[in-house]
Amino acid sequence: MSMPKGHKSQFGYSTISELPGGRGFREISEHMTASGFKMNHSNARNILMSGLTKIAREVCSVYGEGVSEERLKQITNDPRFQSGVYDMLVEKGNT
Amino acid sequence: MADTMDLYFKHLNKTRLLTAEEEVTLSQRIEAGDQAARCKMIESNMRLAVSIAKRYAKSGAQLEDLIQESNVGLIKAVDRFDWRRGFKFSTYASWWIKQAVRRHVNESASDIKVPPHTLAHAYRINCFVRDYEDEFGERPSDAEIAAMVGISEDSVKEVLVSCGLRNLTSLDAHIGDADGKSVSETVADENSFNVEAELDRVKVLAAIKASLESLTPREEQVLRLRFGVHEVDREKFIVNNSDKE
Repeated sequence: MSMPKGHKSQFGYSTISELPGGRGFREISEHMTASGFKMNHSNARNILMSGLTKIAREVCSVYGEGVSEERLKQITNDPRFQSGVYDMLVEKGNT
Repeated sequence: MADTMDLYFKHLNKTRLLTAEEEVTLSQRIEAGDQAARCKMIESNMRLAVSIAKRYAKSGAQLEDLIQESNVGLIKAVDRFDWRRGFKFSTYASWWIKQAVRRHVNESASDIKVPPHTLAHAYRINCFVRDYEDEFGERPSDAEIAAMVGISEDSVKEVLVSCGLRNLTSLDAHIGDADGKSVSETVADENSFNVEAELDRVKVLAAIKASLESLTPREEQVLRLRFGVHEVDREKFIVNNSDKE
């Protein structure tokens, strides 16, 4: 689905261009399918967003912020949030 | 202190100004060693000292101190006044009074003492730089300043550094009145440990870690693949998946 006409992201878009080893959704779906979990690129994106939403909901609960699904969607799409999740994954991977 | 100053000013208002003839007569008596004449000459001109001291009241120094210093300058003028030259005493004394007050203002302006001749150079340099910038729209080089002021380039640098140091503020200096906070209390310590921020950070980290644990292996694997972070062991992942299915 195309973006609404006139939409302008406030903080830019999340891309993998600056992440060494980051993969696009097609690559992810191929990798996951090869791992025995069949999915296409769209499924891969949905699963990613689902995981990020879980994290965002938990973080918002810490700050006591009443979150609507719309707001959660905004947060998960925010490149700053995704950058934070990346840092946490790196930290978790190192421990 | 204000009452003392009021009394002092009232006392000064009662003293009568001397005529030119009286000044000459008193000066002759002072030359002859008459201490009473010297006192009379000083007391009669204290109003001049006060009026000059008041001109420097906005310099940051205490008015009482300025008056004190101007009186010292006045005494020096009385001791050195030469009545034979034919000038009014006030004309001669005002130079000595101004010199004493200016010196005090310069010394009290900063904890770092700068010699008067260096301050004189600084004044000339500042005037020249200001005029130069007005005319050419840029700052003159040190060589140009040195040529204009008549000192070496090294001296120009030293003068500018010395005068720059005078603007330093002590960390122990009080802001406002003496009971106010000191400057050091208002300077943020960038290396200090912010307990609230650290607690927030730990809390958020714990929440994120917990949320990472709550991810299904499939979600975590997709996240890691997306971000290119330390992929989950493939065999473990497949086992987990088969468990789920």
